[in-house]
Amino acid sequence: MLPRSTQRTARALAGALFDTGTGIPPARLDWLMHDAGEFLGHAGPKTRWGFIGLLLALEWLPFFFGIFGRFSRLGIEKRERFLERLESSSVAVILAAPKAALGLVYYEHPDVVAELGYGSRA
Amino acid sequence: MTLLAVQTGRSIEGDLEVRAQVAVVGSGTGGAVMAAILAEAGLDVVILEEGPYIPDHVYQAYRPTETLRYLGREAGTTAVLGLGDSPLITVMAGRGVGGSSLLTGGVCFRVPEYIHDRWVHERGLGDLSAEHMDAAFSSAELASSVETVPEHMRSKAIRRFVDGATKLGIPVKPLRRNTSHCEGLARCNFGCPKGAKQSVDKTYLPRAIVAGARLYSDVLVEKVTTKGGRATGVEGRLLGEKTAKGQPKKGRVRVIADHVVIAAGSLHTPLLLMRSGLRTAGVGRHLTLHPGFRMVGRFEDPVMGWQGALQSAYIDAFEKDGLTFNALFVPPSVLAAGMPGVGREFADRIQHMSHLGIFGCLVHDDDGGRVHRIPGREPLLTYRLSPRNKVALIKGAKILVEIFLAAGAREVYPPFFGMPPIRSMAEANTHLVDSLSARRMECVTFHPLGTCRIGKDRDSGVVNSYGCAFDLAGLTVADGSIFPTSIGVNSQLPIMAMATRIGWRLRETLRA
Repeated sequence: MLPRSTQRTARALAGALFDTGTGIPPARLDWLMHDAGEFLGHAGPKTRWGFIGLLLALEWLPFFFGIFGRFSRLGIEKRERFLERLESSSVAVILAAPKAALGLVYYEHPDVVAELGYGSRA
Repeated sequence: MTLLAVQTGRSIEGDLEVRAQVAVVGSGTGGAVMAAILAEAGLDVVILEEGPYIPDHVYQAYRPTETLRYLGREAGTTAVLGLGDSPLITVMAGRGVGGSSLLTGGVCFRVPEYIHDRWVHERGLGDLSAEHMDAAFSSAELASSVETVPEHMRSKAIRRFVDGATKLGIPVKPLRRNTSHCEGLARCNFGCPKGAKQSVDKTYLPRAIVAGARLYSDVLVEKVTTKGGRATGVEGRLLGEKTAKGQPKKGRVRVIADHVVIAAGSLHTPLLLMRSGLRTAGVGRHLTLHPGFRMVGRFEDPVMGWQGALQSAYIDAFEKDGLTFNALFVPPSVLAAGMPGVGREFADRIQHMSHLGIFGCLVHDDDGGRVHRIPGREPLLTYRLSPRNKVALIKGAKILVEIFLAAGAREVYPPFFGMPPIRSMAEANTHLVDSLSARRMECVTFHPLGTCRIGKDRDSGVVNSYGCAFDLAGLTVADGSIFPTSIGVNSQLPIMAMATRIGWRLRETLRA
């Protein structure tokens, strides 16, 4: 599992990336945290610690992009605005890696797959 | 279902000491071919694989990230650090019995003629001409059931794309793949659910085992042992669960062999040679990657990209620019992981997965990468994208945008972080300019090559054209690391062909 402080950031990030407007059920986020932790366990210590480090950076970076407050405490609109600015910046890679790890796992949740109408095994 | 007789390192108590005529390190595309050829010639062969053995009926049921967890090196998160104006590049490499062949889309190309000509005329490697390698390619194609993907196996998304290319006068050709009875489920690179992909765990490895080769999984080879300037075997350790006291498994591995074949791939073969004290200057240098990207086009109506072969068509009309374009599809999870965008817009794109068509581009690149030895099991990888390769990638992006728009796509999502969707060529010309920072590119590779490359002598390479190390007798390298340059096309079949001709030669040498 991911450390609890990191989970807060990861949940906030998932909300700002994968919510289509209807909100993400908490149980699905719980599953995401568990399965992402398991996935990163297979990736080895370098990747796992890198992931945690990038999430920590995300938590404190909004200030440097003109948005005041820690990432996990921002409202959804401010989180999205910050991520847009971050993705257009020269340090977009800080977002890319956590987004990749969470996206890989989130879109394998059986309910998400069903919502997408994806016809093959996710 | 194919079940191989594999002894797992995890099941071995104590140490493992084995004697053989040939020790093959790695059971992927190169190692499997070598093992089959040498075992069928009556030689006593031992194959050592670092990864686990997962039978096909097990991995066929995996989710994509489960495939990455259990069969991908570092769970598919291996990355190459970009130096200067270069992107961070994710490298997909296998780690398990069957190696990276388990994770390919099955695409099989021969090495293009112009690459052979370059090897012969610029590198002085006469026996790597297309004519010299023809028999080896034919043998590998036959063994791997290489067949042309029929047009009816193309998804609606790819048929649309082909229509767009045709309007622009760009020819699209059918791909060839190593499949048998493919049902078009579009997830070959995460383990074909029907077992149709003919990865080496279904072809060469069963042949090797039937001929008497012994295959050990979960064995990490750490060095080649030598005596008097000659390889005498390999040493390493058994991998497995920690003991009840939390200590790592302690079992050591020692294989005494007359000849050692290294086929651990372009990232780990040089690392193993460095750890073994080989001092040839080229070891770990000249890494080429075929940096590539996915372009995604969104259509008004559903185009069901997953209903058809994962990879069915390609474009080689821009070969002179070093560009190859391949049709492909990726599951939603993989698409979401790599597609730029944030917020509701991003979620909306993935939500409309059924409307998305995907085409890939890769560039025949210069040798700007390097494998560095650092503490730990994995190497540090660095890569500097050459300016001309960057310009080629941007040109490739523009070509794909143009084709998608001609095909009727409403908008196209370029692989650059922070770039808005493109809806016209005017927008493409505004955004996709040569001054664009390559660091913003979402880049991936499946074909690392060249880190122990073939040369005429030890000043220009690490091995000769038959994979024999210049600086250590009794050592052969037979994987993607020996390619003299990048090849501009998928490397699976070329590695098999190269290993085939090396195996044929070694077979005669060892028999003598």
